[in-house]
Amino acid sequence: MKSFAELEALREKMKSNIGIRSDDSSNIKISVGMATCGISAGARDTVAQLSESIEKNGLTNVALMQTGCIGLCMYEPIVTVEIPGQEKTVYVKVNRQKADRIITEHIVGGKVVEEYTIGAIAG
Amino acid sequence: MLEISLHILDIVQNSMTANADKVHISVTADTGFDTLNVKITDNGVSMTEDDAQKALSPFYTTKTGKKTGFGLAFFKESAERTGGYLKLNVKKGVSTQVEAQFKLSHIDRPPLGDMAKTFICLISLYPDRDFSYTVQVDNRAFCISTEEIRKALGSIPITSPEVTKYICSQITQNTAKITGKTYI
Repeated sequence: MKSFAELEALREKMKSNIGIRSDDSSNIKISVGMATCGISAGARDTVAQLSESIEKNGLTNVALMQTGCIGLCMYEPIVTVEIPGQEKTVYVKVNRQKADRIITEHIVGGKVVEEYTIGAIAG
Repeated sequence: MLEISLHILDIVQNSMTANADKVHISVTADTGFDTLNVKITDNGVSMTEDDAQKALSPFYTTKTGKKTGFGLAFFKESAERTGGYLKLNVKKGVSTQVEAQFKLSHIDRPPLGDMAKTFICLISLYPDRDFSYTVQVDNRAFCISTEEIRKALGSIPITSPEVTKYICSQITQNTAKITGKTYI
């Protein structure tokens, strides 16, 4: 890289508005299947969209993580949402559009997007 | 996989499982030799020479509850389809390197694809680990490393959207600049 001037300018600009990332038990966990099957089914875009939507909605209590293959390769990309105190939700074949709805409706709105869950699609 | 960059993402997942905290990815195209070399080097738990041989089989895995490990086998197949090869260079206790060579002009060679997306994906999933990436076409090269970015950022998290956007545009623009008319 030729210069870090741009990054340093960014640092100055952002100094004032660093949010505090809470790492307590109230954290929501979102995991994406990132094994060979997940990646070839498009998990890279799913991760990109989830992280864009998390930022867009100003969510600071969400941890985005990856998981391996759970043997349901034909339903990848698989996204699992774990909210403390609630039952785990498994979403399947999650593309960009589904990923955005999961964040806005489930994480922000508190309502599971039933039609994208494994129960609705594989059941 | 449709892109070499997706194979790379897949192989780096192996490094992460092996607890590597530093991964270097290099992509080198040589128009004279008509080759495209991809090397992924990590400092994770390494293998013995013997295990390295077995690791290339699609039915070898160290995972429990599963009998397959397709990642490396697919990458190898993809390289060999173009007349290239894939090999593992292991230094027990030091490093593990996956080295693949493609024939650059071969009709079956997948495009490198979106390395910016692969890089950002890795940063978002593993913000605490370090990744570096070098792309070279003949004598022109571009290099980016999270270690250096982190130093310049101070206390600003590397996953901030402004930072990831910056990294993404750096990779995209500089790759376009160094590749010029060469198709990678």
